[in-house]
Amino acid sequence: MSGKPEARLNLSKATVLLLQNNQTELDILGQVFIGFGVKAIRKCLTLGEANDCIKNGIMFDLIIVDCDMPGGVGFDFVKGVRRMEDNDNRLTPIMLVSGHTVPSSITKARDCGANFVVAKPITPKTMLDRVMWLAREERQFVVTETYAGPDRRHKTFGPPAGTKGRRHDDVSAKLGKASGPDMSQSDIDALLNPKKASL
Amino acid sequence: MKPANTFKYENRLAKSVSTKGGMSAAEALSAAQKAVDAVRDPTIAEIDANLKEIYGLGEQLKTTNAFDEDALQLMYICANRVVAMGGVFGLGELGQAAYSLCELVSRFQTMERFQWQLVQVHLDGLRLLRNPDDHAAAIRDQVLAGLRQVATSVG
Repeated sequence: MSGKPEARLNLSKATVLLLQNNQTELDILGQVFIGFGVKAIRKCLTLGEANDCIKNGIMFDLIIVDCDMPGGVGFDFVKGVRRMEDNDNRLTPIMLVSGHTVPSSITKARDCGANFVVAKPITPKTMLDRVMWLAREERQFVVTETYAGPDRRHKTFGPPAGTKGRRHDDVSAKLGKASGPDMSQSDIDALLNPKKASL
Repeated sequence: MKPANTFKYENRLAKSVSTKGGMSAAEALSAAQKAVDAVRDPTIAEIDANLKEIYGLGEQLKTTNAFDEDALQLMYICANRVVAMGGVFGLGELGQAAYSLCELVSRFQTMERFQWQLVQVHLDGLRLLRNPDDHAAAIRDQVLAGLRQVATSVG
């Protein structure tokens, strides 16, 4: 026998909120999560129902919101949740699902504070991949005057050239003078090619 | 401008997913597919209802042959539903044709213009791809490539 054991997932105790304004799409999404073993699924067809769920003290492990709701209310919902300072659901992973996206919605999707956007159609395979991806999410949470949500930078390249940056851990891309002795070649080799300790 | 407040937080989903027990990814996928199959018939019926509405709106637009904001918006909504549902039950190419129609309508809306022939070719494509098994894969690919070319030619 070889290879590592297959990853397992346990969503039996997870609570999931689904917001979709079309009953059939909502049913498909609900069935996917039933198949994944989720027992607590809140299915909402309207913004009002979803807001009630969020404000009624239910703690969600995952929220899925349809981008294609009229008037872009899905984006507003996400934005609202992220700004609820007295509600722990503001930190819950949020996934947007989107069909065709008009140009005016692309920046809204980026700026509303969702963890990411998944293109429809939502199949079990797509959803499982994304759920596992979200479960490995390690980005920090960022709150600014104009944005609240996970850090939109998946990689840190430092602040733009010529700016100081606004975060305490922003490091300038410009290299300064060395502050200590150079690393030895063996130190560099050890960093690039780590070996298991042999006891 | 205030500095950004950046902090680490507990990923509740990660905690939930990694609790003992549960199922393998293959088991989860199989169970989910089985659960989704339970809504196959109503979903196909919903796809057909949306297609019927799209064709009806097409007739309306053909008659007026002018930019009709309301009819185009309704056509966009119906086509976007086909995008969402088509690929779930083996009608992925139909979904792609519907996506192309969404793109076309979106471009018409942005530019406030309309050209019936460009809609008509999409409706023909939707009719053809609703029954994909009746046509060879090469033909289906050509149809989709043609629709994408038509949609992106606007603007």
